[in-house]
Amino acid sequence: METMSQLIEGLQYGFIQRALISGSFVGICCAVLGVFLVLRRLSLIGEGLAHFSLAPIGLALMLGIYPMYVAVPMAVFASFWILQLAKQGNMYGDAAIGLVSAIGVAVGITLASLGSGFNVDLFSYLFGDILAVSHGEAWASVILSILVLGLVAMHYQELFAMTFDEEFAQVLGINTERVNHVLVLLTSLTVILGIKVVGTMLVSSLIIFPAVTALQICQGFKKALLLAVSFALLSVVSGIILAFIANVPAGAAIVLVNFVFFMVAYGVKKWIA
Amino acid sequence: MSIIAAENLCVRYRQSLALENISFAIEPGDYVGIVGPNGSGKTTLIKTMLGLLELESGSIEIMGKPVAGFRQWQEIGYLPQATTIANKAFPASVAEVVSTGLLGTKSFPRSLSGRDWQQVAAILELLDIGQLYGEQIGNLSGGQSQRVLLARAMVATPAILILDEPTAALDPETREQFYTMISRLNREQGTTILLITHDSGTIGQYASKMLYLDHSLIFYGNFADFCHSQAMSRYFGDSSQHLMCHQH
Repeated sequence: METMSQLIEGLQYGFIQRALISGSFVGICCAVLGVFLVLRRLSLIGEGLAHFSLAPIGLALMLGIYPMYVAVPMAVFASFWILQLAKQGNMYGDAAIGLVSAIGVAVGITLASLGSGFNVDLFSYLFGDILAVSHGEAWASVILSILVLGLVAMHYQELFAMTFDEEFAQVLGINTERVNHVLVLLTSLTVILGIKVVGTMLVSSLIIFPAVTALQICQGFKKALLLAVSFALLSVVSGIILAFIANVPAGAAIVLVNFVFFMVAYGVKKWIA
Repeated sequence: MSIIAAENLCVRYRQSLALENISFAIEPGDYVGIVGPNGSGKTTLIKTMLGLLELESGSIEIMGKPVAGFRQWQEIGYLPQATTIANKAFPASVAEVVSTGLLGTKSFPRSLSGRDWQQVAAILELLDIGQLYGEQIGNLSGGQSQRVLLARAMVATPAILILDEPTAALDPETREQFYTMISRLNREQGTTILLITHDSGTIGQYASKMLYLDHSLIFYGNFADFCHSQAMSRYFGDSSQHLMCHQH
């Protein structure tokens, strides 16, 4: 009873409302993109882009600029760089992701050691601080999420065909290079939004967990997308509530709730089989 | 007018010349068996026809248009090599997979209508797999997967059907059914068939023309001429030659 009144009281706070709005929209985007990325074995691109973004965030903090102004264009650049390396650098996609990711982390750590006084801020980007989301960041989450979901809806048929069989999609006359660029562009925007929610260390979990959980139990592609979105929403909302009540980091709580959902789905699948 | 025509075609693949001075003309309604040793450039040839690989020199035209400027991709159905569904956990129904074959007929954003889904159901019925409409793609056997992917290639009723070793993963009975089905399409609907195969015992029963490739073109012409050519005995051996020509 006390917990319930604590919860109702908590929902009156603006920072909780902003956390719920921002987290939900980012969670939905991550889940939708996650289904395509996981099935195309590109799920670690989120991890790579998040780690790479440590470099621009570190640089921005050092120069006293709002980090997202630098992180967004640099993450977009990194996403295209990964595609280019994989296509023309004669290397597999995972190697390209690992390479770009390592460069970002190395530059980020170097900047942190050279600078002084911004290490605490950098720490908040490593592990996320959703309860500190500002009005502007909440609005940015909503607007960018609408953009991401709109573009995915417009390219749905092409993305589906390419996810199942990219070569066949090319034969159909689909410009697979353009659609791949759209997918990684949207992923880089979403990852940057997700850094505020769970931090660079855990943002890829928002992309991977809801997708793999849905893939355990669903049949049909649209159902998989809907189920992944449902798991993402449930995990973000319950993670934030758990963080508020138990006084634990929200980012970690969201990931742990996701893990519980995954284990339940995995158990259900095994039980049915 | 030839439906596909190649003139002095040269294609480089991974820094070596995979196809050298290939010239041939395929007429509408032909059933062409494409044969040759492993690594002889058969798949490279069809990928070049499909615009997936660039030409080093020469030309290739589909329906009178150079492949680089060809836009009527809905006229071509393609069944790629090694079509066993690799990811058994892919969350798509048979109908969803087959429907992608219609996307070449659509302009962006390529939305599908109720009529399109009826067309998907109709092609599944035609291939005797109507009952698989809502089945998950990962639950199918090798033979069923093959038919589903053939349905995907055929759903837009293409004028040309290009099949890359379609029977490699099939048991003898399913293989026979598959060949019969393709032959029926060729006869009854006039679909031009290009079929890559190592299946020397069977192709002779169905193909009207043979294209024998070993980086350069060794033979292209009617099956009857192929039967008596040196190319035939060189590739298939004397015993298979006798068997194939007898069956044809």
